[in-house]
Amino acid sequence: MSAVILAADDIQVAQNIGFGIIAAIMVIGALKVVTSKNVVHAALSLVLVLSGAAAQYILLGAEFVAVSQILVYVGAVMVLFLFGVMLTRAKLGKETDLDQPKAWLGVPVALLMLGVLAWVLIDGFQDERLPADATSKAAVEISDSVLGPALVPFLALTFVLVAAVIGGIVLARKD
Amino acid sequence: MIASLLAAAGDWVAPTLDYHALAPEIILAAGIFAVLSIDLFLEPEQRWITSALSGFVMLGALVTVGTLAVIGDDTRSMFGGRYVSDEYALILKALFLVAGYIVVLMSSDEIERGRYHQGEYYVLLLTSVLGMVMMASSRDLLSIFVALELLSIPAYMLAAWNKRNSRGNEAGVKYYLLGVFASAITLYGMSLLYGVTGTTLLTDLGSAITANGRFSGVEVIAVAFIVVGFAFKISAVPFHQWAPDVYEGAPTPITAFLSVASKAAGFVALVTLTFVAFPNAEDVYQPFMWVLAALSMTIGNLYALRQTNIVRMLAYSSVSQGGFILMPLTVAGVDGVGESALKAVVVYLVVYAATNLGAFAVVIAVARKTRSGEISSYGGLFGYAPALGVLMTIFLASLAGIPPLGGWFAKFGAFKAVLDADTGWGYSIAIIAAINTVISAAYYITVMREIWMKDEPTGDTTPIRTPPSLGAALVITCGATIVLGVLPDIVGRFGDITDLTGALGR
Amino acid sequence: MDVISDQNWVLSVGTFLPLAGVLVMLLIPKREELLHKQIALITALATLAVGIYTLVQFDYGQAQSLQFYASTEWITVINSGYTIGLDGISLPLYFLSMVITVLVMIYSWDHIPSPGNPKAFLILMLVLQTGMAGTFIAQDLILFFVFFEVVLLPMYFMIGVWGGEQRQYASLKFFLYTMFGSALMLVAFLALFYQTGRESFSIPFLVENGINIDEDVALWIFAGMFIGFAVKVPMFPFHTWLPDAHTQAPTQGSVILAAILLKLGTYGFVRIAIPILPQAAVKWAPVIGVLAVIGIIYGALGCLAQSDMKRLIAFSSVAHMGFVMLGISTLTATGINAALFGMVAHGLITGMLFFCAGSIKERYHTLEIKRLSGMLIQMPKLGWILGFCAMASLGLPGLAGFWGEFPAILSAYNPAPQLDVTLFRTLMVIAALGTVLAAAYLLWLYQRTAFGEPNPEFTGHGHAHAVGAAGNDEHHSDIHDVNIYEWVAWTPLLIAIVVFGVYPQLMFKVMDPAVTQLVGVFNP
Repeated sequence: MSAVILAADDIQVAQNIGFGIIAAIMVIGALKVVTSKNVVHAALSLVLVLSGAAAQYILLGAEFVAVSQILVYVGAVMVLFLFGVMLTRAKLGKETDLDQPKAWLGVPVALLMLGVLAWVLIDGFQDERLPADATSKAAVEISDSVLGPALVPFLALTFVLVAAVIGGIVLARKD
Repeated sequence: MIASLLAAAGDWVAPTLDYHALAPEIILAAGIFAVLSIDLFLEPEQRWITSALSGFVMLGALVTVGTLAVIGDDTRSMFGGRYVSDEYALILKALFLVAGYIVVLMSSDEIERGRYHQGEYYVLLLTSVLGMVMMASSRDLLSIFVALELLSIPAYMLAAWNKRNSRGNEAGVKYYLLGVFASAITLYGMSLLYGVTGTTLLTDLGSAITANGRFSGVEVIAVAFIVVGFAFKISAVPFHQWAPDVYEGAPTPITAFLSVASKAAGFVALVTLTFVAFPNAEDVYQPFMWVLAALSMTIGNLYALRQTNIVRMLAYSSVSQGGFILMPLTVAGVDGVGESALKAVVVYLVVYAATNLGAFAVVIAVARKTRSGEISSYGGLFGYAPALGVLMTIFLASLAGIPPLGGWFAKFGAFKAVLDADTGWGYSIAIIAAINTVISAAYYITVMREIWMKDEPTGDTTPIRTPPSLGAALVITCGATIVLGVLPDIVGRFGDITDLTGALGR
Repeated sequence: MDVISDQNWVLSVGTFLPLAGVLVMLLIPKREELLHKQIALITALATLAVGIYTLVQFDYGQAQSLQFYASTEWITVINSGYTIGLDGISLPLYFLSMVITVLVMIYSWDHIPSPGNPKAFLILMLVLQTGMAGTFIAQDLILFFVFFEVVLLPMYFMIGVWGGEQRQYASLKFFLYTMFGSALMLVAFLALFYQTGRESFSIPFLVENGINIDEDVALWIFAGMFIGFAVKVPMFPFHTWLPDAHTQAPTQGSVILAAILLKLGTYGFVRIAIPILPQAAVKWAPVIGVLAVIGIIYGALGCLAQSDMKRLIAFSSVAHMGFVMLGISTLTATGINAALFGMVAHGLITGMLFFCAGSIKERYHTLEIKRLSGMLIQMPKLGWILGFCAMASLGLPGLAGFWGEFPAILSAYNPAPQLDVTLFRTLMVIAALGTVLAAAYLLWLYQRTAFGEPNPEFTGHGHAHAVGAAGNDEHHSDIHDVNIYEWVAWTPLLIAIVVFGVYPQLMFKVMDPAVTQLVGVFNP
């Protein structure tokens, strides 16, 4: 996976441009999520970000993860979110008093984190390249590991889901 | 087409499962489904059966832990070392199961009286204990994370169980939001670590970190993020903000569960990671843990001094005790100290579990009559409920570290571990810990003073009747606290460094 | 150090027997007050019987070896064992603790302070007895530490629940001060363990190997132990907890505190600090000596300024312990013998003084010196006893106190060869001045309270007891002379004070061999 190929002519131009465009869309979407005054706009921008992530996965050759991302995040989580907006009768349309008073503290911290992480990631991974001749066997590998080495976590997750459902029902019931 | 897919399928081999090693987990899983199904068919008056059944399930799992300890090999390793059942894991599984059993004893009357959806409560409790039991055996990043989620998610919901009460809801929401945030940070750290080293197996991580002799920034950030996430779980300062409100809003048996079992699970993860995955990363985690330990001890104590509510006081006290448990890890990387550090942490967790559960059991018992959480409502307790007064004194004295109760040996072990290191960091944290021991005695004494020396505030001196299950919980915890203090060798045998497979690169 | 292991069950039985009594008492309901008192007294007497047996079976010809020695594994993970033994230094204190407990139990027969509850009170006393006895027999530092701490909580509750008006403040101060000292002491113990190769916490072992510790480190370790023990003694400037604790404690608590608990500190010096770290002891001895003498003078001056009798006696304790510490700081056989004798004598005398104060408080409901007078007229026997104790306390020859003070001062004339003679002779002179001050405050106290005419506030009550019919009025029956329980409780102490005053050799011959062995390292 971490094979390093340094040949300059092997840089795949199309994929890099594709990455750039999708990344730009994701960043704009993310900014819209936190700055938008309309909750539905924010939700749909989040869909944009998550789909962009799925697209990136495809570029990386991990199509199983990409499809899971769409199914779970966009399909389930965002739909659930929109249901929540509908059922709690959140105000559709512009909200006015959304500003976080401590934003003056939060934004610099966030920028600091961004700087640190950016530096760290660039420093750590800048020499990495994706193998040019990778055939994607991602789904196969994932299923092998889920039914092999990662069997116990996989089965444990079923209990997480059961507990979440039961607890959610108990807490949400009107009684 | 299918043929080509099958050809590309590679060679999957069915993993070998050691069912004996998985027996505790299997029993707990079966128990969860049993309780859930039986609950469907019970009449409301029969709901106590769920509590009894959960108790039996935990005891059954405990029996299998016992058989694992006695029969067969000491170390059973599955999935290439990702799920290991060694003596360290067995001791901690036993701790979680016994703590879970005592919480069941403490809850059975409380939950029944409040008409609190008993069946679901016990299902969630069992699920959380299952997660903890898994955590003790997990030796790769993925298993640790899943175990973390498995134990936390039921806990988030259990914390909100007082749903008719706004404090209860606040507790649940706060715990949930901060908890998932912390889990997310941990996961980010884990994924970065995987990205750098290419493996999630802890023993491989141990050799892969600083493989080329120096740290890369990614490794530092990854280790830091992982520690931060678990620091939240153990309510280390400054990640402790959730603790007082959650402890106060949750039902008291759940508070006891969170303060003991959930915290212990966080420590188990930290200890496993520190000794197996990060032995070479001591320059990163040691100073970080030093700061966490020093802050937790001091700030926990300072806030506890000002509390008037017993549950909040115990919450801050457990923040401070968490600092003490963290103390040996600040020197775990120093040569030759790893042994005593591991032993100190395991011993402290066991003693602290017994003592804290006992203290909360007394809180539950007294609240049955006084219906109040204020420390002043304990006034004159010795006059009308001498047994409870003496028990609370024993538990508080043990937390303060007064011999011959269990707490003194736990503190002694922690001090010995840091002094073993013979470094400046070690001596300085030992001094901070000593000062904090005396400060903590002050607020424990305040409660003792209320119990022994003040008068009953409302003049109502009817004796308190404790239900048998609560009484049993009190007897077990008190017995453990006293025995572990007088004969510390019983627990001193635990936590040998050889028990933890792969610790420090062995 | 030689050890003799015959009959090594004796010490364990003697120490833990009170707990057996506690277990029985726990099962009996609170309201059976008489039964509780009986069981507590029987337990204390049984313990005393074991103590007498120990006294008889002790081989006085070998008083320097550890007798009734037992050593079994206890906490193997830290190499700490259950190691116990008794030699000439510990025997008097060990026995004294049992005697005092019996006497205090007798005194408590009709004297349980408010708010009552003899069950709790007597159980705490028995637990305290176990802690005290255990400290004197412990030959392992961790065991010593555990017993040392065990006495904290019972004493805290005794003062806090059954004490005077300011009891909560006094008890809290006592607890936190002592705990702080103990924490430092524990760190010092751990350091000793590490510095001698992490082998053992056993005191005989450490005595043999303590000489190998590097000098600078030894100084710091001694400092830690010094602070820990100095708080208990109490030495100036760590003494501020004592006046409050003594004044606010109930009589029984004050007696036990004065008679035995203060000795835990000085015993710690003699048993642990000095034998294990002799070179550091030599360096620290001048400091100890100076602080001791400051304590003598400060205690005496403090006494002169007091208006409350119990507080005055408390300050006199500070002064007396100053003499004890002066004797210890000279590091000579005379000095340490004097110190140990002084410990026992102080226990007897100051214990007796606190008993008197308690009885006076019970009768007059006040301890203000200016309101008390003419006791010799109203209660002649009590007045005489008070006078007797005052004389003993100021060091009148012929009574036990003399042999605690005089040899201590004398030993400062010729301290151990490594010490500065001039300094110690100066200290000797100042200490001698202290005895004059001691005489002053005690005689002043006695004159004020015993001589003269009874205070009009309290006259009219004096003869009420004799005239039985007037016993209806509660106040009238108060000012009576010594009653039967008090006589039974006090007579042994009074006799002991005289016997040891006239024939001190009785105790010196027990202590001397062990003390000589101890100081042998300073004066080979």
